[in-house]
Amino acid sequence: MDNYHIYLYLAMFVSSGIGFFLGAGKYLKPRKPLYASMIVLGAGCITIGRAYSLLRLITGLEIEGIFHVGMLGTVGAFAFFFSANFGQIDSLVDDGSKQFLKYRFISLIGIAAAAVIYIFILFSPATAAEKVTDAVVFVTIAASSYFHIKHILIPDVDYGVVRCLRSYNACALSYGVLCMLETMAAANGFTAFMVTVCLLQCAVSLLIVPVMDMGVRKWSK
Amino acid sequence: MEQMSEILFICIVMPMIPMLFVLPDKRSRLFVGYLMLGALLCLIAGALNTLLLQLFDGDMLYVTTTITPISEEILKALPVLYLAIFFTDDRDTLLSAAFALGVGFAVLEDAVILAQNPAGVSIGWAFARVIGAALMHGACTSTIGLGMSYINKRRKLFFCGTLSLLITAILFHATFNVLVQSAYRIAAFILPISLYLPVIVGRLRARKKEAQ
Repeated sequence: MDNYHIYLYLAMFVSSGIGFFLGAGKYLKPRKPLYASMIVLGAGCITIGRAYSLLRLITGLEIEGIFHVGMLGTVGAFAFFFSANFGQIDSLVDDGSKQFLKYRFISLIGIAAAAVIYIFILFSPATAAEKVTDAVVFVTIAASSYFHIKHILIPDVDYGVVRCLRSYNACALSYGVLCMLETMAAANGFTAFMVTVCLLQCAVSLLIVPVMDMGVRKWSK
Repeated sequence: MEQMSEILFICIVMPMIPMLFVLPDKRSRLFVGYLMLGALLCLIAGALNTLLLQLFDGDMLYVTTTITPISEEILKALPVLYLAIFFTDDRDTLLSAAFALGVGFAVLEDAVILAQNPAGVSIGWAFARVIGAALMHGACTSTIGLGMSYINKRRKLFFCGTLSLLITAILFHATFNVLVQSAYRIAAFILPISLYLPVIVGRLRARKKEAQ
Protein backbone atom coordinates (compact mmCIF):
# COMPACT_ATOMS: atom_id res chain seq x y z
CA MET A 1 0.00 0.00 0.00
CA ASP A 2 1.38 3.41 -1.02
CA ASN A 3 2.09 6.11 1.52
CA TYR A 4 -0.36 8.47 -0.18
CA HIS A 5 -3.20 6.22 0.98
CA ILE A 6 -2.12 6.74 4.60
CA TYR A 7 -1.95 10.53 4.16
CA LEU A 8 -5.34 10.57 2.42
CA TYR A 9 -7.01 8.56 5.17
CA LEU A 10 -5.25 10.65 7.81
CA ALA A 11 -6.58 13.85 6.19
CA MET A 12 -10.11 12.41 5.98
CA PHE A 13 -9.93 11.19 9.59
CA VAL A 14 -8.73 14.56 10.89
CA SER A 15 -11.24 16.64 8.92
CA SER A 16 -14.25 14.48 9.82
CA GLY A 17 -12.96 14.29 13.42
CA ILE A 18 -12.86 18.10 13.68
CA GLY A 19 -16.44 18.26 12.36
CA PHE A 20 -17.54 15.62 14.86
CA PHE A 21 -15.90 17.22 17.89
CA LEU A 22 -17.34 20.63 16.95
CA GLY A 23 -20.81 19.12 17.13
CA ALA A 24 -20.25 16.61 19.95
CA GLY A 25 -19.56 19.32 22.53
CA LYS A 26 -22.80 21.04 21.64
CA TYR A 27 -25.30 18.36 20.67
CA LEU A 28 -24.37 15.11 22.43
CA LYS A 29 -26.04 16.29 25.62
CA PRO A 30 -29.49 15.78 27.14
CA ARG A 31 -32.31 18.08 25.98
CA LYS A 32 -30.70 18.91 22.61
CA PRO A 33 -32.54 18.33 19.30
CA LEU A 34 -32.35 14.59 18.53
CA TYR A 35 -32.07 15.43 14.82
CA ALA A 36 -28.83 17.34 15.42
CA SER A 37 -27.48 14.64 17.76
CA MET A 38 -28.05 12.04 15.04
CA ILE A 39 -26.18 14.10 12.43
CA VAL A 40 -23.28 14.50 14.87
CA LEU A 41 -23.29 10.73 15.53
CA GLY A 42 -23.23 10.24 11.75
CA ALA A 43 -20.14 12.44 11.56
CA GLY A 44 -18.72 10.33 14.41
CA CYS A 45 -19.32 7.19 12.34
CA ILE A 46 -17.40 8.72 9.41
CA THR A 47 -14.54 9.55 11.80
CA ILE A 48 -14.33 6.13 13.42
CA GLY A 49 -14.66 4.37 10.05
CA ARG A 50 -11.77 6.41 8.67
CA ALA A 51 -9.80 5.82 11.88
CA TYR A 52 -10.27 2.06 11.49
CA SER A 53 -9.13 2.11 7.84
CA LEU A 54 -6.18 4.34 8.74
CA LEU A 55 -5.19 1.96 11.56
CA ARG A 56 -5.33 -1.02 9.21
CA LEU A 57 -3.00 0.82 6.82
CA ILE A 58 -0.59 1.91 9.58
CA THR A 59 -0.42 -1.59 11.05
CA GLY A 60 0.28 -3.07 7.61
CA LEU A 61 -3.14 -4.68 7.07
CA GLU A 62 -4.88 -4.63 3.69
CA ILE A 63 -7.90 -2.46 2.95
CA GLU A 64 -8.32 -3.20 -0.75
CA GLY A 65 -9.72 -6.35 -2.31
CA ILE A 66 -11.24 -7.62 0.95
CA PHE A 67 -14.22 -6.94 3.19
CA HIS A 68 -13.33 -4.85 6.24
CA VAL A 69 -15.49 -2.90 8.68
CA GLY A 70 -14.05 0.51 7.67
CA MET A 71 -16.76 0.75 5.00
CA LEU A 72 -19.34 0.44 7.78
CA GLY A 73 -18.36 3.98 8.80
CA THR A 74 -19.98 5.30 5.63
CA VAL A 75 -22.94 2.91 6.03
CA GLY A 76 -23.43 4.02 9.66
CA ALA A 77 -23.14 7.71 8.78
CA PHE A 78 -25.76 7.51 6.04
CA ALA A 79 -27.98 5.30 8.20
CA PHE A 80 -27.90 8.10 10.80
CA PHE A 81 -28.54 10.80 8.15
CA PHE A 82 -31.39 8.72 6.70
CA SER A 83 -32.82 8.03 10.13
CA ALA A 84 -32.69 11.73 11.10
CA ASN A 85 -34.48 12.87 7.92
CA PHE A 86 -36.95 9.98 7.67
CA GLY A 87 -37.70 9.55 11.36
CA GLN A 88 -37.60 13.14 12.57
CA ILE A 89 -38.28 15.65 9.80
CA ASP A 90 -40.02 14.04 6.83
CA SER A 91 -43.49 13.81 8.41
CA LEU A 92 -43.38 17.58 9.05
CA VAL A 93 -43.13 18.41 5.35
CA ASP A 94 -44.77 15.49 3.57
CA ASP A 95 -48.23 14.35 4.68
CA GLY A 96 -48.37 11.74 1.91
CA SER A 97 -50.79 13.81 -0.21
CA LYS A 98 -50.73 14.00 -4.02
CA GLN A 99 -49.56 17.60 -3.78
CA PHE A 100 -46.00 16.39 -3.07
CA LEU A 101 -45.95 13.49 -5.54
CA LYS A 102 -43.80 15.51 -7.95
CA TYR A 103 -41.06 15.96 -5.32
CA ARG A 104 -41.16 12.29 -4.38
CA PHE A 105 -40.57 11.35 -8.01
CA ILE A 106 -37.79 13.89 -8.59
CA SER A 107 -36.03 12.66 -5.43
CA LEU A 108 -35.67 9.22 -7.02
CA ILE A 109 -32.82 10.80 -9.06
CA GLY A 110 -30.57 10.06 -6.06
CA ILE A 111 -31.32 6.35 -6.24
CA ALA A 112 -30.95 6.32 -10.04
CA ALA A 113 -27.58 8.12 -9.82
CA ALA A 114 -26.33 5.57 -7.28
CA ALA A 115 -27.39 2.73 -9.59
CA VAL A 116 -25.59 4.33 -12.56
CA ILE A 117 -22.33 4.84 -10.61
CA TYR A 118 -22.56 1.27 -9.29
CA ILE A 119 -22.59 -0.09 -12.86
CA PHE A 120 -19.00 1.23 -13.21
CA ILE A 121 -18.06 -0.84 -10.13
CA LEU A 122 -19.91 -3.92 -11.34
CA PHE A 123 -17.82 -3.98 -14.52
CA SER A 124 -14.55 -3.00 -12.79
CA PRO A 125 -11.66 -5.38 -11.96
CA ALA A 126 -12.63 -5.22 -8.22
CA THR A 127 -13.03 -8.50 -6.30
CA ALA A 128 -16.46 -10.02 -5.60
CA ALA A 129 -16.11 -9.17 -1.90
CA GLU A 130 -15.55 -5.50 -2.78
CA LYS A 131 -18.49 -5.45 -5.18
CA VAL A 132 -20.84 -6.86 -2.54
CA THR A 133 -19.69 -4.49 0.22
CA ASP A 134 -19.80 -1.54 -2.18
CA ALA A 135 -23.40 -2.50 -3.00
CA VAL A 136 -24.29 -2.28 0.71
CA VAL A 137 -22.65 1.16 0.93
CA PHE A 138 -24.48 2.33 -2.20
CA VAL A 139 -27.88 1.17 -0.92
CA THR A 140 -27.51 3.24 2.26
CA ILE A 141 -26.25 6.31 0.37
CA ALA A 142 -29.07 5.97 -2.19
CA ALA A 143 -31.74 5.74 0.54
CA SER A 144 -30.32 8.75 2.33
CA SER A 145 -29.91 10.73 -0.93
CA TYR A 146 -33.65 10.33 -1.62
CA PHE A 147 -34.48 12.33 1.50
CA HIS A 148 -31.62 14.82 1.03
CA ILE A 149 -32.89 15.70 -2.46
CA LYS A 150 -36.50 15.74 -1.29
CA HIS A 151 -35.73 18.09 1.60
CA ILE A 152 -33.76 20.41 -0.68
CA LEU A 153 -36.64 20.71 -3.16
CA ILE A 154 -39.86 20.39 -1.18
CA PRO A 155 -41.60 23.67 -0.29
CA ASP A 156 -41.80 23.91 3.48
CA VAL A 157 -44.90 26.04 3.99
CA ASP A 158 -46.01 25.00 7.48
CA TYR A 159 -43.00 24.88 9.79
CA GLY A 160 -39.99 26.32 7.94
CA VAL A 161 -37.71 23.66 9.47
CA VAL A 162 -36.58 21.99 6.26
CA ARG A 163 -35.90 25.36 4.63
CA CYS A 164 -33.26 26.03 7.33
CA LEU A 165 -31.68 22.63 6.72
CA ARG A 166 -31.33 22.89 2.92
CA SER A 167 -27.60 23.75 3.09
CA TYR A 168 -26.98 20.80 5.40
CA ASN A 169 -28.89 18.46 3.07
CA ALA A 170 -26.85 19.75 0.12
CA CYS A 171 -23.64 19.07 2.08
CA ALA A 172 -24.70 15.54 3.08
CA LEU A 173 -25.81 14.81 -0.50
CA SER A 174 -22.44 16.01 -1.85
CA TYR A 175 -20.65 13.81 0.69
CA GLY A 176 -22.72 10.82 -0.48
CA VAL A 177 -21.89 11.47 -4.14
CA LEU A 178 -18.19 11.87 -3.27
CA CYS A 179 -18.22 8.59 -1.29
CA MET A 180 -19.71 6.78 -4.29
CA LEU A 181 -17.14 8.36 -6.63
CA GLU A 182 -14.32 7.41 -4.23
CA THR A 183 -15.51 3.79 -4.23
CA MET A 184 -15.84 3.80 -8.02
CA ALA A 185 -12.34 5.31 -8.47
CA ALA A 186 -10.82 2.78 -6.04
CA ALA A 187 -12.49 -0.14 -7.83
CA ASN A 188 -11.21 1.01 -11.24
CA GLY A 189 -7.77 2.17 -10.10
CA PHE A 190 -8.28 5.83 -11.08
CA THR A 191 -5.65 7.14 -8.64
CA ALA A 192 -5.57 10.85 -9.53
CA PHE A 193 -9.36 11.04 -9.59
CA MET A 194 -9.54 9.29 -6.21
CA VAL A 195 -7.07 11.74 -4.62
CA THR A 196 -9.15 14.69 -5.87
CA VAL A 197 -12.39 13.13 -4.61
CA CYS A 198 -10.85 12.36 -1.20
CA LEU A 199 -9.61 15.94 -0.81
CA LEU A 200 -13.09 17.21 -1.63
CA GLN A 201 -14.46 14.74 0.93
CA CYS A 202 -12.16 16.27 3.56
CA ALA A 203 -13.68 19.69 2.93
CA VAL A 204 -17.29 18.45 2.89
CA SER A 205 -16.96 16.21 5.97
CA LEU A 206 -15.52 19.19 7.84
CA LEU A 207 -18.53 21.30 6.82
CA ILE A 208 -21.46 18.91 7.48
CA VAL A 209 -21.79 19.53 11.22
CA PRO A 210 -21.16 23.33 11.25
CA VAL A 211 -23.63 23.83 8.36
CA MET A 212 -26.23 21.68 10.17
CA ASP A 213 -25.58 23.71 13.33
CA MET A 214 -26.29 26.96 11.45
CA GLY A 215 -29.56 25.49 10.18
CA VAL A 216 -30.64 24.22 13.61
CA ARG A 217 -29.89 27.62 15.18
CA LYS A 218 -31.98 29.34 12.50
CA TRP A 219 -34.95 27.01 13.07
CA SER A 220 -34.79 27.26 16.87
CA LYS A 221 -34.72 31.08 16.79
CA MET B 1 -7.17 -28.17 28.75
CA GLU B 2 -10.34 -28.91 26.82
CA GLN B 3 -13.64 -27.37 27.92
CA MET B 4 -11.78 -24.70 29.91
CA SER B 5 -14.34 -22.02 28.88
CA GLU B 6 -17.23 -24.17 30.08
CA ILE B 7 -15.46 -24.90 33.41
CA LEU B 8 -14.79 -21.19 33.95
CA PHE B 9 -18.39 -20.39 33.08
CA ILE B 10 -19.64 -22.86 35.70
CA CYS B 11 -17.20 -21.55 38.33
CA ILE B 12 -18.00 -17.87 37.73
CA VAL B 13 -21.65 -17.83 36.75
CA MET B 14 -23.25 -20.72 38.62
CA PRO B 15 -22.68 -19.16 42.08
CA MET B 16 -24.72 -16.18 40.89
CA ILE B 17 -27.86 -18.27 40.29
CA PRO B 18 -28.89 -18.46 43.99
CA MET B 19 -28.46 -14.68 44.12
CA LEU B 20 -31.36 -14.33 41.70
CA PHE B 21 -33.71 -15.87 44.29
CA VAL B 22 -32.35 -13.81 47.17
CA LEU B 23 -32.25 -10.33 45.65
CA PRO B 24 -35.28 -8.35 46.83
CA ASP B 25 -36.13 -6.15 43.84
CA LYS B 26 -36.79 -6.81 40.17
CA ARG B 27 -34.18 -4.34 38.91
CA SER B 28 -31.29 -5.98 40.79
CA ARG B 29 -32.38 -9.42 39.55
CA LEU B 30 -32.50 -8.09 36.00
CA PHE B 31 -28.95 -6.73 36.18
CA VAL B 32 -27.50 -9.88 37.77
CA GLY B 33 -29.42 -11.95 35.20
CA TYR B 34 -28.00 -9.90 32.34
CA LEU B 35 -24.50 -10.16 33.82
CA MET B 36 -24.87 -13.96 33.73
CA LEU B 37 -26.36 -13.83 30.25
CA GLY B 38 -23.34 -11.82 29.09
CA ALA B 39 -21.03 -14.60 30.28
CA LEU B 40 -23.20 -17.21 28.52
CA LEU B 41 -23.00 -15.18 25.31
CA CYS B 42 -19.22 -15.09 25.64
CA LEU B 43 -19.27 -18.89 25.77
CA ILE B 44 -21.46 -19.01 22.63
CA ALA B 45 -19.29 -16.39 20.90
CA GLY B 46 -16.22 -18.50 21.65
CA ALA B 47 -17.74 -21.50 19.83
CA LEU B 48 -18.95 -19.28 16.99
CA ASN B 49 -15.53 -17.65 16.63
CA THR B 50 -13.88 -21.08 16.33
CA LEU B 51 -16.24 -21.89 13.45
CA LEU B 52 -15.59 -18.51 11.81
CA LEU B 53 -11.85 -19.03 12.15
CA GLN B 54 -12.15 -22.32 10.25
CA LEU B 55 -14.27 -20.61 7.62
CA PHE B 56 -11.57 -17.96 7.05
CA ASP B 57 -8.68 -20.47 6.82
CA GLY B 58 -7.40 -19.78 10.33
CA ASP B 59 -6.54 -16.13 9.59
CA MET B 60 -6.75 -15.05 13.24
CA LEU B 61 -5.82 -11.40 12.61
CA TYR B 62 -8.44 -10.91 9.89
CA VAL B 63 -11.16 -12.69 11.87
CA THR B 64 -10.51 -10.79 15.12
CA THR B 65 -10.27 -7.38 13.44
CA THR B 66 -13.16 -7.77 11.01
CA ILE B 67 -15.52 -10.68 11.65
CA THR B 68 -15.74 -11.15 15.44
CA PRO B 69 -16.68 -7.50 16.16
CA ILE B 70 -19.74 -8.04 13.94
CA SER B 71 -20.72 -11.47 15.33
CA GLU B 72 -20.13 -10.49 18.98
CA GLU B 73 -21.99 -7.18 18.78
CA ILE B 74 -24.99 -8.82 17.07
CA LEU B 75 -24.99 -11.60 19.71
CA LYS B 76 -24.88 -9.05 22.55
CA ALA B 77 -27.62 -6.96 20.97
CA LEU B 78 -30.16 -9.83 20.88
CA PRO B 79 -30.97 -10.07 24.65
CA VAL B 80 -31.24 -6.27 24.83
CA LEU B 81 -33.65 -6.36 21.90
CA TYR B 82 -35.66 -9.08 23.67
CA LEU B 83 -35.84 -6.93 26.81
CA ALA B 84 -36.89 -3.88 24.78
CA ILE B 85 -39.60 -5.72 22.81
CA PHE B 86 -41.23 -7.75 25.59
CA PHE B 87 -40.54 -5.97 28.88
CA THR B 88 -39.45 -2.36 28.99
CA ASP B 89 -38.37 0.50 26.77
CA ASP B 90 -37.21 2.59 29.72
CA ARG B 91 -33.89 4.08 28.64
CA ASP B 92 -32.10 3.82 32.01
CA THR B 93 -33.13 0.18 32.52
CA LEU B 94 -32.05 -0.77 28.98
CA LEU B 95 -28.72 1.05 29.30
CA SER B 96 -27.95 -0.55 32.68
CA ALA B 97 -28.98 -4.05 31.53
CA ALA B 98 -26.94 -3.64 28.34
CA PHE B 99 -23.91 -2.49 30.32
CA ALA B 100 -24.27 -5.45 32.72
CA LEU B 101 -24.44 -7.79 29.71
CA GLY B 102 -21.27 -6.27 28.23
CA VAL B 103 -19.42 -6.54 31.55
CA GLY B 104 -20.55 -10.18 32.01
CA PHE B 105 -19.21 -10.93 28.53
CA ALA B 106 -15.88 -9.25 29.35
CA VAL B 107 -15.51 -11.07 32.70
CA LEU B 108 -15.66 -14.53 31.12
CA GLU B 109 -13.52 -13.41 28.17
CA ASP B 110 -10.80 -12.19 30.58
CA ALA B 111 -10.99 -15.43 32.58
CA VAL B 112 -10.64 -17.54 29.41
CA ILE B 113 -7.64 -15.50 28.17
CA LEU B 114 -6.07 -15.80 31.63
CA ALA B 115 -6.57 -19.57 31.70
CA GLN B 116 -5.09 -19.97 28.21
CA ASN B 117 -1.84 -18.22 29.14
CA PRO B 118 -1.39 -17.95 32.92
CA ALA B 119 2.36 -17.37 32.60
CA GLY B 120 1.93 -14.31 30.40
CA VAL B 121 -0.32 -12.28 32.67
CA SER B 122 0.38 -9.76 35.43
CA ILE B 123 -1.41 -7.24 37.66
CA GLY B 124 -0.80 -4.67 34.91
CA TRP B 125 -2.43 -6.98 32.35
CA ALA B 126 -5.43 -7.40 34.64
CA PHE B 127 -5.91 -3.65 35.04
CA ALA B 128 -5.45 -3.13 31.30
CA ARG B 129 -8.14 -5.74 30.57
CA VAL B 130 -10.50 -4.13 33.08
CA ILE B 131 -9.98 -0.64 31.69
CA GLY B 132 -9.87 -1.74 28.06
CA ALA B 133 -11.98 -4.79 27.29
CA ALA B 134 -14.58 -4.53 30.07
CA LEU B 135 -15.33 -0.88 29.33
CA MET B 136 -15.28 -1.51 25.59
CA HIS B 137 -17.82 -4.36 25.79
CA GLY B 138 -20.00 -2.41 28.27
CA ALA B 139 -19.91 0.78 26.20
CA CYS B 140 -20.64 -1.01 22.90
CA THR B 141 -23.68 -2.88 24.24
CA SER B 142 -25.01 0.25 26.01
CA THR B 143 -24.77 2.15 22.73
CA ILE B 144 -27.12 -0.38 21.12
CA GLY B 145 -29.43 -0.22 24.18
CA LEU B 146 -29.80 3.51 23.63
CA GLY B 147 -31.29 2.97 20.15
CA MET B 148 -33.62 0.25 21.40
CA SER B 149 -35.18 2.60 23.95
CA TYR B 150 -37.07 4.15 21.00
CA ILE B 151 -38.84 0.88 20.16
CA ASN B 152 -42.29 1.94 21.33
CA LYS B 153 -41.85 5.71 21.21
CA ARG B 154 -40.70 6.17 17.63
CA ARG B 155 -40.68 3.11 15.38
CA LYS B 156 -39.05 4.96 12.48
CA LEU B 157 -36.14 5.94 14.71
CA PHE B 158 -35.90 2.52 16.32
CA PHE B 159 -35.14 0.54 13.16
CA CYS B 160 -32.66 2.89 11.51
CA GLY B 161 -31.28 4.30 14.77
CA THR B 162 -30.55 0.86 16.24
CA LEU B 163 -28.84 -0.25 13.03
CA SER B 164 -26.70 2.91 13.04
CA LEU B 165 -25.79 2.44 16.71
CA LEU B 166 -25.00 -1.25 16.11
CA ILE B 167 -22.64 -0.19 13.30
CA THR B 168 -21.03 2.39 15.63
CA ALA B 169 -20.50 -0.34 18.25
CA ILE B 170 -19.02 -2.73 15.64
CA LEU B 171 -16.62 -0.03 14.43
CA PHE B 172 -15.57 0.84 17.97
CA HIS B 173 -15.02 -2.84 18.82
CA ALA B 174 -13.07 -3.47 15.59
CA THR B 175 -10.88 -0.39 16.15
CA PHE B 176 -10.15 -1.63 19.69
CA ASN B 177 -9.22 -5.08 18.36
CA VAL B 178 -6.87 -3.63 15.71
CA LEU B 179 -5.18 -1.39 18.29
CA VAL B 180 -4.83 -4.10 20.92
CA GLN B 181 -2.95 -6.34 18.46
CA SER B 182 -0.71 -3.57 17.17
CA ALA B 183 2.32 -1.72 18.49
CA TYR B 184 -0.08 1.02 19.67
CA ARG B 185 -1.65 -1.19 22.36
CA ILE B 186 -1.73 1.63 24.90
CA ALA B 187 -4.14 3.55 22.63
CA ALA B 188 -6.54 0.59 22.84
CA PHE B 189 -6.93 1.19 26.56
CA ILE B 190 -7.23 4.96 26.22
CA LEU B 191 -10.01 4.57 23.63
CA PRO B 192 -12.78 3.20 25.95
CA ILE B 193 -11.79 5.60 28.77
CA SER B 194 -12.02 8.56 26.38
CA LEU B 195 -15.60 7.50 25.60
CA TYR B 196 -16.55 6.53 29.14
CA LEU B 197 -15.21 9.52 31.11
CA PRO B 198 -17.23 12.27 29.35
CA VAL B 199 -20.39 10.14 29.76
CA ILE B 200 -19.72 9.63 33.49
CA VAL B 201 -18.88 13.32 34.04
CA GLY B 202 -22.06 14.30 32.14
CA ARG B 203 -24.23 11.92 34.20
CA LEU B 204 -22.71 13.06 37.50
CA ARG B 205 -23.32 16.70 36.58
CA ALA B 206 -26.90 15.92 35.58
CA ARG B 207 -27.49 14.12 38.90
CA LYS B 208 -26.02 17.08 40.80
CA LYS B 209 -28.34 19.46 38.92
CA GLU B 210 -31.36 17.26 39.62
CA ALA B 211 -30.46 17.13 43.32
CA GLN B 212 -30.22 20.93 43.44
